[in-house]
Amino acid sequence: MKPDVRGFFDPETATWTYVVWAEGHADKHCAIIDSVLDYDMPSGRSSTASADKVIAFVQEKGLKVQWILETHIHADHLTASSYIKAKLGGKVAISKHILSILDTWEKYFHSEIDTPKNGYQFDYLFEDNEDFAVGPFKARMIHTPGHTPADTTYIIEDCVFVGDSIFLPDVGTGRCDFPGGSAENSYDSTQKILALDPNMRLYVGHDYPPDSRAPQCMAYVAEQRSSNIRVRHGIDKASFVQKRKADDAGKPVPKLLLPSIQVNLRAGSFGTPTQGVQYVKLPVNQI
Amino acid sequence: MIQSLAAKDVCAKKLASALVVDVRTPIEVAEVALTCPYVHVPVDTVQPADIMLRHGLDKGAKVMLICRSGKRARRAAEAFEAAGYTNLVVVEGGVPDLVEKGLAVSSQQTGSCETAAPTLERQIRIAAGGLLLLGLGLSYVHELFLILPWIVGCGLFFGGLINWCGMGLLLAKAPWNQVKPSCKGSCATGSVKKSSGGCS
Repeated sequence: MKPDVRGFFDPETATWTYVVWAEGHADKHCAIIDSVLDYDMPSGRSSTASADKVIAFVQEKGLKVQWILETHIHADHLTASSYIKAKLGGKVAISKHILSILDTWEKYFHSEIDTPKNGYQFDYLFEDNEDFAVGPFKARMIHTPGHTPADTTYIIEDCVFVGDSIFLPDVGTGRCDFPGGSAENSYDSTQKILALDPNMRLYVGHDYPPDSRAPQCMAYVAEQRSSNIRVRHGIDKASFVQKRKADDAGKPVPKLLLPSIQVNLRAGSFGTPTQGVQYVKLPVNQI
Repeated sequence: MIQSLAAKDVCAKKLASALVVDVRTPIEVAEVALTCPYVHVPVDTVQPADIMLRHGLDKGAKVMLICRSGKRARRAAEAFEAAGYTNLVVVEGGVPDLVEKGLAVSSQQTGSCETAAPTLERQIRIAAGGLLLLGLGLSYVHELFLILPWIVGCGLFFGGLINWCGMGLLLAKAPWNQVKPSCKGSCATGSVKKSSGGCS
C-alpha cells in the first residue's frame, strides 16, 4: 500500500501544500505539509482561504490530522499551521535545527517574548534521521540544509517531500542566499536525496510554471537524476556552487520575507497583541 | 462519471476549477493553444494515473478534457474512467471554438511561432487535392483508379458532417509535424492577452 497525496497549489506564492493519507484504510490519520496563510503586505490583512480548502478536503475525506509538518522556515509565504491546528488538531512539527534560525533572527525582531528561542511554540522538534509514522505508513525525516540551515526532507514510504531543496527538473533547486544558506550544503543535500530509490516520488515545495503549463508537484527520483537542470548526474559540486552563487547574486528579496520569517518562527501565529492589536515588525535597514 | 460541456459554455472560471488536459497532437497545439494553464498529452499517450500523480490530484479531482471536436477528449475521458477517476468533463467542440472568447489563441495571432511546415489545414487541402488529381490522372490508365477521388470525396464529406478528419489525424503524426518543445513553448507562452472569459 502506498500513500495517497493531494497537492494544493497557491498561485500567489507558487507554493504546494500536501495532504498525505491512506485511502480506504482503517487508520484515518493524515499529515499536512507546508500549509499557506494568505497575507496581503500593503494592507496587513491575512486570509485563510488557501488553508480552508485544505481543511475542507480533510473533513470531506473524514481524516484525522496527526502531523502538521514544516519542511523549513519559509521566507516567501506564511504558514497556516497554528490555524489548521486550531481547526483540526494535530502536532505542529519541524526540525530541531530551527533553534539556530530562531537565534539568527532574534537580533532583527527582538520578539523573544512570544517567539521563545527554545522552540516551545512548536509541538515537536525532530532529531536528524528520526523515524515516525503517518497513519499506517513509516516515515523518516532527514536534514537537507542549503536553502536554509534547517531544511528538512520528510520521507513517507515512497513519497519524498523535499521542500525547497529540489524543484522540478526544469526549475532546478532552491536559492541559497538567505542567512545561513549554503550552496555547498545544498549540493550535498541534493545528492542525499538523489541517492534514494529511483522509483520514489519526489514532491516539491514550489513550482514556477510558465503561464501555459498547469503547475506540477511530482517527479520521480530517476527523472531528477537524469534531467534536473542544476543537479543532474554529471554536474559536479564546484560547477553547481559556482552557478548557484552567480544566479543568487543580486536576487530580489521575497516580497513576504519579513512577515513570513516572523510568523513562521512563531509556528504561524501573529504573536502577542499590544492593546488588542497584533503587529508585524519591519526592521529598517537591517536586511 | 463523464459529463459533457459545450464549448460555448466554457469560461475561464470553469477552466480554472479543473485540471485541463489537451489531448490533441503537437502540431495542433502549436497552431491553436489554450491560454489557461493546461497539460498537453496526445490522446494516444494518455496515462491517467501518471498525469494525476504529477499534479497532486486524487480520484475525485475534476479533470476537463479537450481536443478539436470532443471525440478524442471522450476517448481520453474513458481511459480516465477506466483508471478509477470519477469527476470527468468532456468539452464538446474544441479548442478552435474558444479562440473568439480569448480562451485560446492561434499562433498566427501572436506571430510568436514560425512552424517549418504549412498549417495542418493547408496540408489537408494539399493532400486531398493531390490525391484527387492523382486518381483522376491515373483513371486514363485504368478506370479503377477513380476509386481514389471517391474515397477522398467521401472522407471529406462525411468527415465534415461528423466533424472528424482522419487525414488530419494521420498527417499530424507525420515526422515534419512533430513540433519542437521550445517552439511549442514560445507559442503557448507568447505575449498572449489574458482574457477575463466571464461565465455567462
